[in-house]
Amino acid sequence: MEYRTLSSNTSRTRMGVTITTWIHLAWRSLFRNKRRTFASLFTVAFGAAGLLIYQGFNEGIMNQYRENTIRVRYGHGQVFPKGYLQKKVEEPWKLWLENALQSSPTSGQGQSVDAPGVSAPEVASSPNLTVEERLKRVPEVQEVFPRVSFYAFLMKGGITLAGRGEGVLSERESKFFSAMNFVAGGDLGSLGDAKTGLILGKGLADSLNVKVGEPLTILAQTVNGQLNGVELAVTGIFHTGSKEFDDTFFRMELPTAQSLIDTQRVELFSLATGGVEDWPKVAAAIRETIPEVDAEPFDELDKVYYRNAVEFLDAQFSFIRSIMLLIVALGIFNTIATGLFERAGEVGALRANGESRRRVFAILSVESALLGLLGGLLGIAVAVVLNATVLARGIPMPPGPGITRQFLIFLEIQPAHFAQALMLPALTTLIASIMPIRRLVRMSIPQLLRTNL
Amino acid sequence: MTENLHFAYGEGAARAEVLKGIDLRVEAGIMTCLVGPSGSGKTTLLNILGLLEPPQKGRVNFVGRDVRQLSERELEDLRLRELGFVFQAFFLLPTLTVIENTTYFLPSLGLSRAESRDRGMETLARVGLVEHAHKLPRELSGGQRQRVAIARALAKRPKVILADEPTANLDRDTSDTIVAAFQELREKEGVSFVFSTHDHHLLSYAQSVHMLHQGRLVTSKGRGADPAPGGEG
Ligand SMILES: Nc1ncnc2c1ncn2[C@@H]1O[C@H](COP(=O)(O)OP(=O)(O)OP(=O)(O)O)[C@@H](O)[C@H]1O
Ligand SMILES: [Mg+2]
Repeated sequence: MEYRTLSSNTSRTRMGVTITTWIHLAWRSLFRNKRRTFASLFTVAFGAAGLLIYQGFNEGIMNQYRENTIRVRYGHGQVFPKGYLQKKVEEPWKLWLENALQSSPTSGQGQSVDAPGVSAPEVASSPNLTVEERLKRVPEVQEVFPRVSFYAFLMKGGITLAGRGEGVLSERESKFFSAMNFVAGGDLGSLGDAKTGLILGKGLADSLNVKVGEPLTILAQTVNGQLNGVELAVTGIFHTGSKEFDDTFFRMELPTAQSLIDTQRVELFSLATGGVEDWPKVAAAIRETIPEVDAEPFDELDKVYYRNAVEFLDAQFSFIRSIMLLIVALGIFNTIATGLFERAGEVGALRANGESRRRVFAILSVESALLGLLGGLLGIAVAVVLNATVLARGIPMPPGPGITRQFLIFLEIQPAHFAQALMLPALTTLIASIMPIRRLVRMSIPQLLRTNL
Repeated sequence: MTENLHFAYGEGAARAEVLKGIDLRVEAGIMTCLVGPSGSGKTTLLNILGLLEPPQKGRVNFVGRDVRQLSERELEDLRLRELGFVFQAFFLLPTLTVIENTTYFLPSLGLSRAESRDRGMETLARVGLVEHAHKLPRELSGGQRQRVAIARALAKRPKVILADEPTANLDRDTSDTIVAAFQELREKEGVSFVFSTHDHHLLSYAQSVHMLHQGRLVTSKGRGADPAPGGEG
């Protein structure tokens, strides 16, 4: 009979073989009690599918919010005169950008380069190119939209309301600002000359009781402090869903607005980039090449609505995710513990024959991790199928906080979501089984052997 | 070999002394049988002999080593290399085939896949189960399952195989074949066996029979009560 020395422990030197053995053993034991394994699998799968669908749904809502914010109001970001947003000045237009627009005829807005009151040194501090031209040279910038904004009174019949006006280049903007959701009429140019047109929010239009085609008088203060008025025809009424925006905002053509408030300057540029992810590069390029402006991304500009919505949804998701994982853990805990303690005798017999605690622990842990991963995969498959079938037409959502219209939400499932939907339930399964596994492994061999008798 | 073994369950008033000074010497190549009424402490004694739990008082020597001096790791290693354990309830892994159950411990002993397989088949041949090698335990009879459990212990090539009532779940004929198999392995391989039983007809197979009675050992056959140091088990 051969005799081996006590110190040789070959199992420790064969880690690679050992791990495949563990996985093999774990895989085989998974199917020892099919009913129980499937019960656990479905619980884990339910958690994974729930996570994936819920997160996809959340992402879909955020998408909707983001699209609304970007394609109605801000673009991917805006560029302001330096320090403009921080300073509280009585006459903000004094900070507005002079000679900012491209002078080429293609811009078609007839900006005169030598606006009155421009002093030479101011211009000299910047390179020869206008702000607009330099913005357009930033590679990620696809389009720039110069704007001015001002407060004004809107008058129709006996009704006078205060509102916030914006002067925009409608032809240029219409291609990008596609989420206006006109409920009547259309853009500024839709009834003829865009310069005489006006669009306004549904709330504002309802309060004024004005319809498409009807005239509206706009009264505003010029930069010199005089009152100035213009009569424009309503060409469209938009219903973006954002209550604040629909209740106060109206838009007219940029030159019309500039002559109403008597300035040639531009307050800001909205920018269209390749996507939200381009913004850091755009901001860096602008900082470098256009020192006289500040660049702000849309989510910074729309803190109250977009940022808060995202943070709210994120916090809500984290909370519900914990609840879901807790439900998964509680759901499988009993099944797993029962299954484990049914095997006490077998484990005792293995240990009586020299199996180490460490290996028993490893094999059982690998088994539960495997169960968790399989459940996660199953759940992901279910979620993907649901998304492609039942949920493919979108989920109609009633108006959210601060929102006045229904939206169709489409699940937006991203690769990172798959990883999370796979790993979190698997981890939960593992954590839920660690306690019973530890209890089993800590039992003495005689205890184990007695358990199932 | 043990000296003055004591073992009690519980504490205080609930304390029940099961073993009250057991001296037992298990010799190499011998079949030792423990008998005694239910509750007399056969399982307790086998657990101590199998290094599954330490005695509360007294010494257990295993191949010249005092087991109280050994670490958990060293005990595991001794159980793996020198001992084999067989139980009344078989305790096979139900999801593994007969050959997989038989070779379960061989990789831990350093055998390659091919070596394990060869030794597994060889061992199954000895217990007469070669044709069932790829069946699952649930496809076998009780006697066949017990032979798989024996093969699993035997494949490790231990010095001693301990068996706690290995035939209690089996009918008389099957019990005989199991103990006959022990006998053959003892003769051919020189493996020592220690088994407990209620079946008095199995006693005839053993060279050494000990009766547990009120916490003490009464030897009815062989030289079991020799307190001299050395020897095996
Ligand atoms: N974990 C325990 N806690 C308390 N008492 C125990 C424990 N295990 C065994 N006992 C008691 O110790 C005594 C000896 O038990 P043991 O199992 O060793 O007897 P046995 O001879 O194997 O009996 P059987 O023939 O029924 O298997 C019995 O009285 C039993 O009730
Ligand atoms: Mg017993």
